[in-house]
Amino acid sequence: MNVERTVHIVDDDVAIRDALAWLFDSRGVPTSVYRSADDFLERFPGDHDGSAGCLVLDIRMEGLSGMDLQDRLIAAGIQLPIIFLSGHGSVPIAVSALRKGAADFIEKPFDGNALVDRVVACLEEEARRVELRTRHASVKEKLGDLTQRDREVMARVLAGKYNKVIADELGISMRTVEVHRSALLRKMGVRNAVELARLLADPQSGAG
Amino acid sequence: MSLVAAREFVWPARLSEPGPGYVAANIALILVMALLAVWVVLSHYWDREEQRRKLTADFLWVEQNFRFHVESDEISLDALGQETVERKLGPAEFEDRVRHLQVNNPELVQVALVDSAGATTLVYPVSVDEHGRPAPDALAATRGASKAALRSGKPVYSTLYRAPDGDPRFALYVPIFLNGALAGQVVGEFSLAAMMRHMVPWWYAERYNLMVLDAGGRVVAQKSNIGTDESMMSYEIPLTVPAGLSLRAVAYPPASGITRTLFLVGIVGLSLATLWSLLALRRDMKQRIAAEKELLAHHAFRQAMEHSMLTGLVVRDLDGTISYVNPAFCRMTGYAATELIGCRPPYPFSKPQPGIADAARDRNETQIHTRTGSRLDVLVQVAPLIDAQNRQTGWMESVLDVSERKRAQELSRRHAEKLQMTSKLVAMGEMASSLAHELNQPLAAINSYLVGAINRIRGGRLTEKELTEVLEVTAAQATRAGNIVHRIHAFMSRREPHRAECDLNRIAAGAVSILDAEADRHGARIRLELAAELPVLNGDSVLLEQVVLNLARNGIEAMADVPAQSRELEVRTQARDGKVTVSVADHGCGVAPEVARKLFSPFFTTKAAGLGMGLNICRSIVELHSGKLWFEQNGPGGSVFSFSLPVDAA
Repeated sequence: MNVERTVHIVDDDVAIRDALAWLFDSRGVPTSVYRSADDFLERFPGDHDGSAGCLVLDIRMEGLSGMDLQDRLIAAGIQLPIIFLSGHGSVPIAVSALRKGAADFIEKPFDGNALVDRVVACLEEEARRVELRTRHASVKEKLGDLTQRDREVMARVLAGKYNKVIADELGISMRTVEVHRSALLRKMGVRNAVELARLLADPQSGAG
Repeated sequence: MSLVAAREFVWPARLSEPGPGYVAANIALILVMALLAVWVVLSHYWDREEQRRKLTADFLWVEQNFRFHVESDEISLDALGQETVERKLGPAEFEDRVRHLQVNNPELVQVALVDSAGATTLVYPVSVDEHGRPAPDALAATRGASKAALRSGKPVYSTLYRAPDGDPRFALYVPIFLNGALAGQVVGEFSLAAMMRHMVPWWYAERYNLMVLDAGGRVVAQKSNIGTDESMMSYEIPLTVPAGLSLRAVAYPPASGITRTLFLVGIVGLSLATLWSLLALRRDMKQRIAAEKELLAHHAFRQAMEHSMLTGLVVRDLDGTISYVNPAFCRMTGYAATELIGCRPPYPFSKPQPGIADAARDRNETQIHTRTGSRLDVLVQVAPLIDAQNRQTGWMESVLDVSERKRAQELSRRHAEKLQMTSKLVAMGEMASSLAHELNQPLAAINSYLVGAINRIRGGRLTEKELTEVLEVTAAQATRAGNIVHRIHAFMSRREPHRAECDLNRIAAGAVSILDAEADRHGARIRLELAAELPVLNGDSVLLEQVVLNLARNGIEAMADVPAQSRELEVRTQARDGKVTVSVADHGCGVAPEVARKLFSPFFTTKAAGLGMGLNICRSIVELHSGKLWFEQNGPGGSVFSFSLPVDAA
């Protein structure tokens, strides 16, 4: 999948912004720097499909703090992994941030490459998450095409029942069962019951 | 004087009613009085009986005497008559005889001899009848008796008659026989009054009034003329001769009656006096009982007051012996009153001091030791104890437990101290935090620049120009970090030490005195071992005191987990090699080697509430004075923190 993997750096210290951009660039990670949280909110392209980025966020800043920005993003429904950078380790703040879904909380000064590694891991995870989300959306769409009888048959197929049994249970002929079965496999874009089971299992685990 | 009122006073159980002794005394007294009265009555009765018996005896005697007299007179007259007739005596002889008779019998007034024919032949003293013939005076009144005598030939007494002068008289006619034939009769005239006069002896007359009564009960003669009345004892019998008369004796009240009455009056008076005094005694006793009741109530009230009092009271003699303590003091100290009374200094509750308080001052705050060994802050007020003779007999001390108050004061002081400390620490923490943040920024930037550069160099895609640029910005960040550090230093050294001449002995002692209370709270003791003489240093005594305080406080806290008896902190000063050394040794848990390495690094602490600045600051202060601070193990357990300052440092 062709996913844009940009690190969004938000820090009010120009030296930090510049140094981090230099650092990420040295590892081939594209960056985009913002001098404040407000600047980020203005210029952030948004969480559209296919884009997967990561936010490196300073806690203590002029104007909106890092925590405030996290709250805004949550309120706006933007799911972007956040790695907080902190000048001084404050456990309550860290706990609060992580509980709200922050990916990590790193204290300054940090080992440069360790930060990059963590950010890369985050980016990859985000990319996987975006892909899963996309797949989940398509399965949902396909399930929508099924008729009521298709779903009844599908539930029994997934339970591993033979056509004969399904026909008896539903009070229809074996022939009709076979018609429904081939229709639902076609509609779901799979070749057999095993693939169907995998398709339906994956997004569930991914979403969970 | 004795102030042993300390022991609980027990009142007699029976107080309201008089004792059996009192009742018995009353009964005995009443019995005595009754017996006395009975005795008086009985003795009066007995006296009367005795008097009556005596009266009877005396009376019978006098009556007998009377009769004997009359009879002897009769015999004398008879003899005279016989002689006169037989010897035919002449008048002169007769007169002589009669005179002789009259000497012994003065009651014989006149004697006459009458012949058988009735003619008077002899009469003496001479008297004549109306015809001028000699005749006895009595004959006219008693002719019947004369005739009866002549007729019967026996002596006959006439009835009583009155002489012309009123003298009661009677006559005796004695017939005279000569040779068997009546020859005449002798007439004797008796004066009853004279008879009474001569016959009754004086002693009789003193006791009795003897009187002769006629048949009508009229008094015809009596010995005494002292008046008598009916109430007097009397005795009366009829006389045989002369007939128709009776003799009566009335007893005078005995002379001893006066004494007797006096006695009686005395006894009655004394009895009444005794009775009165008994009543007075009873009234007095009632008053006394009422007073005692009042006293008892008062005592109970006082005792209740004393028991409810919270102030301890101690009474000491002049020589210091405790004679009284109240329950509040016992509660305070935990000793029983019996353990304290009689105690002489040193008292169990005040080991270090000679008395509870210095007697010279009248108000003093001091400490006393309770039985359990804890110390109690008390306010002692002393007042001299003055007795009724205005002499001082001891001291009265009131002891008020102020430890709660002091504890509260101490608590609030510590609280304030802690608050101040906390705010200091908070400020310090804030500062450290903001400095850390500030310092972290350039450091993070430097790291990032350098790591980025390294990454590029490894990738072989770093141009020299790029390298130069990145190193330039990195250097700028390093400078920035340096500036921050400068600012920290400037902040830290904002307080310039206030140097002056100072004595480490005094500083150590001052710090220890500040910590004494805290040590006591932790159950620890501080031993101060000061060098005899220390060279004077030039330094900031406030800062140095802070160092000693800090080290000592650490030591005390380090001993929290060891047994109480080994919680001893030693603070020692000594001068050696041009240096003055202060060491603080504890017997605590000691310092583990891995801890020892980090001991002086900032923000390192083993205490839950510590910031890890204490030792660090101490070292800074010591180094400010060009000294050094170090740490050693103290024997098996515990540690010694010492710092030494050069004497000539200034």
